[in-house]
Amino acid sequence: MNVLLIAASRLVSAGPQLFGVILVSFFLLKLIPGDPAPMMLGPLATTEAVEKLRAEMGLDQPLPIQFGRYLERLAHGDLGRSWQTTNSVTKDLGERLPATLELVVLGLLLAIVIGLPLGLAAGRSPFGRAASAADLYSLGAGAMPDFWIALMLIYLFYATLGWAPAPLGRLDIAMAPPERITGSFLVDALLAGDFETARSAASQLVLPVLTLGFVTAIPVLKITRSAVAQLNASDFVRFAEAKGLAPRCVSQHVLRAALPQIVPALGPLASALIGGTVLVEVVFAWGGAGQYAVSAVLNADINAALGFVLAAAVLSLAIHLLIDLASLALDPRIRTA
Amino acid sequence: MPDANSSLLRPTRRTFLHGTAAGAALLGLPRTSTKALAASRAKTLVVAAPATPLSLDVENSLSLGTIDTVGAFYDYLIAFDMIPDPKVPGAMRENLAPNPSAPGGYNLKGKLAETWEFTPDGKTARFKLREGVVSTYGNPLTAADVKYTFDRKFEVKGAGAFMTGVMGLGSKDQVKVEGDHVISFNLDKPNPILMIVCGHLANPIFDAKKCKEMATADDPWAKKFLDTNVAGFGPYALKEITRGQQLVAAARNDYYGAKPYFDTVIFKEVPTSSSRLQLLKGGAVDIAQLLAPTEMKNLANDPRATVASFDASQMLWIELNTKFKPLDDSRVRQAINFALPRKAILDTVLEGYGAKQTAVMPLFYPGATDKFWAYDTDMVKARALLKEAGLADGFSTVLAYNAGDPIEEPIAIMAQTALKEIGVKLELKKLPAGTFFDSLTKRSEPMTFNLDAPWTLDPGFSLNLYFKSTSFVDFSNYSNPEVDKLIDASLSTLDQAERMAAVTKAQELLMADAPWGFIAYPGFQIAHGNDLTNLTYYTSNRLCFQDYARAG
Amino acid sequence: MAVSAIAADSAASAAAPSRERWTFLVFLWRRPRFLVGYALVSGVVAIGLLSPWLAPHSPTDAESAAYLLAPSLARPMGTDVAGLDVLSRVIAAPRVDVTIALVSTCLAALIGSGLGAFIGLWEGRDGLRSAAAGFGLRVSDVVQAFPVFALALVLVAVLGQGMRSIVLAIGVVNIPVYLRIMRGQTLALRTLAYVEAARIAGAGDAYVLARHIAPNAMPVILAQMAVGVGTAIMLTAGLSFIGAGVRAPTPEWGAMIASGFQSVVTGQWWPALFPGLALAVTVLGFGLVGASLEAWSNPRERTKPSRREWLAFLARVKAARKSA
Repeated sequence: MNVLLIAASRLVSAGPQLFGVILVSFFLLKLIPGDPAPMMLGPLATTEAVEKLRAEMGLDQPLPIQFGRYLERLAHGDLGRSWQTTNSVTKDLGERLPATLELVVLGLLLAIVIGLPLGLAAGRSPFGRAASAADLYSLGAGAMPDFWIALMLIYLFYATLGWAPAPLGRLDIAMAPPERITGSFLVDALLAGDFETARSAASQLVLPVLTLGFVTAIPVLKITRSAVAQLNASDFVRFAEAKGLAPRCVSQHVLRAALPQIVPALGPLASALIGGTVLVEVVFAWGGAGQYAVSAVLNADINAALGFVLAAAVLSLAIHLLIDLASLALDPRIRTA
Repeated sequence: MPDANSSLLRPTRRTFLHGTAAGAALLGLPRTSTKALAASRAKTLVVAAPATPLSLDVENSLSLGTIDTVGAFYDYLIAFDMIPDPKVPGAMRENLAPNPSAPGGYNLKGKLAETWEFTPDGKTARFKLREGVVSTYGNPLTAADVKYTFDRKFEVKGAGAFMTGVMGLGSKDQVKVEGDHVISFNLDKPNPILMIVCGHLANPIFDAKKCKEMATADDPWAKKFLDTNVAGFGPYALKEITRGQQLVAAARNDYYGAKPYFDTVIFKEVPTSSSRLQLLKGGAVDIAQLLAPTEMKNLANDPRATVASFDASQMLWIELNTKFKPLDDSRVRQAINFALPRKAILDTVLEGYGAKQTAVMPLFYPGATDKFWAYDTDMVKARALLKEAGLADGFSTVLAYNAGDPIEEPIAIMAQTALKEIGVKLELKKLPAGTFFDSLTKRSEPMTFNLDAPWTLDPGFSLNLYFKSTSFVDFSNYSNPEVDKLIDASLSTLDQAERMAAVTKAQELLMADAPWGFIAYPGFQIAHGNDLTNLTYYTSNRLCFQDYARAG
Repeated sequence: MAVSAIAADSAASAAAPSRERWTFLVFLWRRPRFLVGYALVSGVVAIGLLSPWLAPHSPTDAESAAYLLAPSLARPMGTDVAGLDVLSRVIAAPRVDVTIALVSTCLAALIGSGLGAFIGLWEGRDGLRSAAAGFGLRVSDVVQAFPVFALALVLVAVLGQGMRSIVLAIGVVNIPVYLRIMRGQTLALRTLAYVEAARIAGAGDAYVLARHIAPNAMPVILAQMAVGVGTAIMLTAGLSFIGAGVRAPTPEWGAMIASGFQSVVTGQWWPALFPGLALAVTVLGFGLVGASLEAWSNPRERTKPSRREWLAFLARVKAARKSA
């Protein structure tokens, strides 16, 4: 019951926010210089042909009318057409969002795997080696831009050691993508039992996920550490230690108690990651939504850029909802509030 | 530091098998014996390209991918005879020398047209079409297809409008069907380039029957259909197109001419040039298109691949937009030309690929001359000219370049440094590929790079393209009534002597007026695997899949 | 009575600052790690300021004869594809990168904190002010809902290339961050007794903010700013990497990495490596400065001993126990 209430209230409050996002994006993107019609037709087109195309695309109308038409189409689920790929934006995003989500989910998982234990250890013993390591790590890794780390990893593991495959996309150039179920090559290949393709997809994922996880682990580390450090001084920990419970055991309890603080922080992190994979996607030629959005903005492909912003906003909301539900499950105090 | 000869990149048995397995997988073949694998890979041509075609309809788009593929799917009325290329052993190029005794004035061979004749006054050209030719949909070629093609050019008003103009056709009624396989072009004035424009890459013949079938009420000319499908008479049929990923073509068994060596062509989109280089080096592809000069140089010692470098119609120059002050003063434009560091650019950024540009059109075009070239780097003259123009203290302006072309930024920086010496302050404006093109056609920047070639090897055509004041491609806003007159004269008479005289005089005037910042003829390079043979060069600077073969 | 209370207040806080500063320096001295951060930042800023005299070659004039030279004694960091000296460009880049980062961060902090403070003060109160605060918050939420990088990219695309656009773009993108921080601080502080007292005495909004709220929120804001400068540098580099950054040939670390990227494959690693290292070192410096400010603003952290001190203390305890 609670779950439904929360979901419903979220959707209601999300409405105006989403509208705000669409409104601001539309008018902002329309300000980008660049006229798609002559770009599509090429140099030998007559001014007549260009005008005809512009009228067809509705570009000759005043902006508010164009916005109205966009909303109309949006209500029917039509995100318009991308002039660069000539596909519908829905189709384009359908192909590319799973690629980005693969990176986001796996990157976040890796970040948690790295950040959580390190943060826990650093929080539990603030003067220990773990704390020093955590300091070093967060300052060092936090200072390097993700695209540069990606380049270094490529240089080291591909060009020099030859351990990683060529950074040419999600799949080896010889492989055909598996039958589409979720859109993620790795998952779909595994579902189809095609282990060769799954292996290739997995090996292509290694470097980009490493890059993202490496960088995203820092906020996870920070929040875990501070939550744990706070809890260190709490009564139940003192009691457990006084009882003589082994430190490792106490740490487990502390972690469980810290989760309600850590999990909500993952929400904004995941949202940030959706737009934040852009540069990594570019370096690895990933074919994800971020890369799509960048090229859309640079080439004044309004529909594509708008589609991406919308998709990112909706995903963001979905993530926040999930996180809130998870928080509910983790922290009984919220339930009764 | 990655070394070109490191073990990763040297071909091993493993990588070779991987390459053949790659080809087989791409064809969707089951993994059978290595021999069968090798055989099917051998007959497949894999190309790594910067982009798949934006549209398969030439009336709609002449994008990068389109110009490489349209020639495989469609066929033309005529084509040039081929002769061996003087620079690249084993390669052929078009025989562009004029032949006044041949009808049409050039050494042409019939493709979809079997024979042709001109009336003595030169105003009517009659083509007899080849019989027994069928399209990919099984429809036989008739004069109606040619009529439909030209009608479409008039109605759709895309690239076709330019073509009909340059051929001297004012209305579609001037193209007459005179029989099942006879078609005539009836001009008001004799046009010396009518024949060769028929062979222009942007003038393929469409399968009228199929197009009419696929037309709809609000799309009477089948634009939607032809965007993603092919209705033509060419040697290849379209098997699959996934924009952004790849295009697959399959050789036709019912093609009227010789069946191409390569049964299958896979045209793959690989946006970064360094990735294309890696694929070529690893043996996964046979051709890597549009590599940067440093990357091509890197292949010099490669055991597996090499670069064939052709003298080409490509030109690289800076448009000096005469609409912007002080570029409207020819002395200022001349000064810029005296200051540009051409040799440095050729030796470094272009890594020696190409030659200095010394004329307003490719030098191997009939009638092209470099005898008016005057702008070898001379800073003293440059400064003197600026002083004469009243700009001894220099001036500031903007140079726009394409972010998508890796050689333009370094060249822009070099030009900026050089021009600084004579007091010209350049602000460099980097534009992403899409908007760059837009700004070029809108003529919105004072100085813009342009990398282009006139595909019809005629001096009148080239001059008309870039320097006629009414041309869509006159991006430098150049307008000189005397030059206009000379260009018109060269396109309305069949007298070779008259034409050459007009064209020479025009070039003299243009070189003095200098509406361009001349840089280089960058040439045309094909980076390919060593076992690829029978390469060809066309003035449209494109690949031609049906020509190539594999050695051994 | 109100006036004298205010006067007393100002006298007290006037005395405090010098003592504060001295303790801060001691605080830093006891934590060498933070000192390193300050040293790095000052070093980078100094190098950037002195670069016209330090750079061996021009950072913007192409020398075509020096095309893609490998690092050597004459050219410690080699040259790039346009014949520009990498070392000269690396040390000239702080002028661009750090300037953009500092200006945009100050812009975001000033505007963001200003807005956040008023929103925090007006929220939940009656009338027009509350509505305005609510609206401001909603707008900030919408801006924050955008993917940061995409928004910055769109702003640069709209405003055109160049330093000014980048500063504006990064500034605008970061305003919600400071807005939220300041709002949080204001909400927490406005319920305090002495703030209430000032209000009763008749103080206006601006006075309360300036005298009571701002000084207390300052350390948190400053800490965020220091870290913000680092992230702004990385954002600038990212924008330049995809081609939406500064105009060529302005030396800027991200643009240098971008143009050096392609060369890595053909074996020329130096145009991309050195700017990356310089960038990392600079951001690290600012990160350490930010961490020091954060630790300083948190009373528990401020008085915490460093690891060395703690271990020394433990050792003494152990020795005392043994001898006991």
